[in-house]
Amino acid sequence: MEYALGITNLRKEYPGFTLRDVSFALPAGHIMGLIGPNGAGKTTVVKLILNIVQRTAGRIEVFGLDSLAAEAAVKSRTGFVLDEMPFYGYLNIDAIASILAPYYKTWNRGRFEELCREFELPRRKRVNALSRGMKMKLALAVALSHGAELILMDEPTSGLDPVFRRELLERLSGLIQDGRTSVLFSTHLTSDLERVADYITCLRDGELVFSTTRDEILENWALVKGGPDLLDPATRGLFRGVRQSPYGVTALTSDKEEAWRRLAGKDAVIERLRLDDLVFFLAQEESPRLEAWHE
Amino acid sequence: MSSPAFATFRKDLRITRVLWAPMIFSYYVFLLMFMNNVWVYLATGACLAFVAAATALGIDDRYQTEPLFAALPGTRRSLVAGRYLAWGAVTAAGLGLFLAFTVLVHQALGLRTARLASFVSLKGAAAFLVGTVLAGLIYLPFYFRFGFWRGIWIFTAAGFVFSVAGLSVVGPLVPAEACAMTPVSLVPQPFVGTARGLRALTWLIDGYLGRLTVVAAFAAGLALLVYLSYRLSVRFYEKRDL
Repeated sequence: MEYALGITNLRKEYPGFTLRDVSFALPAGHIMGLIGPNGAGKTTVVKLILNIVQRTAGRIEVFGLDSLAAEAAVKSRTGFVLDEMPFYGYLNIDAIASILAPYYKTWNRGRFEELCREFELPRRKRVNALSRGMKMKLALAVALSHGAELILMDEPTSGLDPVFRRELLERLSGLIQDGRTSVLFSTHLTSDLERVADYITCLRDGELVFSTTRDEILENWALVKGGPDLLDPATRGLFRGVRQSPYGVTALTSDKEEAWRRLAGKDAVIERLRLDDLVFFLAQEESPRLEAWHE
Repeated sequence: MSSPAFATFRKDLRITRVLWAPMIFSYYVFLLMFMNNVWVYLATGACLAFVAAATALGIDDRYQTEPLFAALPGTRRSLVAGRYLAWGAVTAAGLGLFLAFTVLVHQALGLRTARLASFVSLKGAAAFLVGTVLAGLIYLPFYFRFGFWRGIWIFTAAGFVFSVAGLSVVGPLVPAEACAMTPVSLVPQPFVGTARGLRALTWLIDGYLGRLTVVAAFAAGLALLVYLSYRLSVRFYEKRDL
């Protein structure tokens, strides 16, 4: 299989936060969602891929090229949308494009203008006068105007109205139809991923929880609901995260089949998982590192 | 030089374009204010050229655009190269304006500004460039290591300390009469050494900077400094998280 992005043992140490030896790969022609609670390290991963911050250790390969050794080549084939796109507020959209275009050998001015029309971006308007959603659209128009084969997006849908969010997701799905364009995007809005993502990578406290296909998650992971007696020493090991109330227990399992077997006759209900449940329950689960700390 | 470096160079000029007219206007107003003292006139011209060159960096700091440009095709090295190129272009433009304005003022006001005429020479251009280029070459590594404002503060503090130390060293190197203070000096006692050094420096510039060999030596020294400053800036910027 050909990979658009391969990350091996990626590590970044900040005072107070460490991204710990994260490894995952994005096959070419697919969309991968990067999920996790706040402070999980999603933005750090995107910034590391773009060399905005320097890695402490590890390797990043984009289209099989080392992202440091072949930095210029890798970046010319990569488009990006950052969480806060820092454009010069006093310049208009055309001026911004004229500043960014010379960095790309394959910049397509006609394509940019077409995207501005499609996104209803007023090209004569100053960036200061644009809403957050409009700025995001501008960033997206820039990212799509030079034939990028890998598109990195950090929270691209936050600040967008539901209509454009939907359109954006459809556009992303359309982009990968050529079989060579790939998309990695981090988001809190996990419902977006359920629509379009082929792969999901989950981070928590700077550690990789899993990186797998969306279908595998939906097949194997599930929510288990039952009475207070659901949790006992025999079943506890089944659950990755548990929420207890006086009325019952809701828990996350990563092995639906095993849960069916072990909970037979326990009056438990096994429900289809939604990705926001997954993030919520994984945030409840203590990571092995934290457990070791408590011991 | 790579095309991302040229793109950065063009970008720096493009984002400051809106300020060119007010900058040129204020440049001339400040120079007019100090035309009666040639040394202050020279220092003002050099300082304003430095400020003009640093404007693009300040705008990038204001809009926090460094991560954006670091993510575009190119390397940190090419961004540094583009910045040095833009800095050089603005400094050269500053020199051009300085000389043009000096000629203009001298032509218009004649005898009142007789001493300014001496700046329209190799000596004047060299004096202007040594100050401006030196300041830029020292500031830029601080900028790439610490960012705009921290870089400015550290550069200012370090510049003050090294200037005072340097001037104290220069004083004793020239004949005593060249840097003799007037009997009734307003300079407080702790700064007498620095004031003597300043006088010695002006004496040296007056007497030696116009000579071709001295200018050539300065040019060689500055070229070496450009190389060292650039290498240091690349090294700092490649390690900096944006």
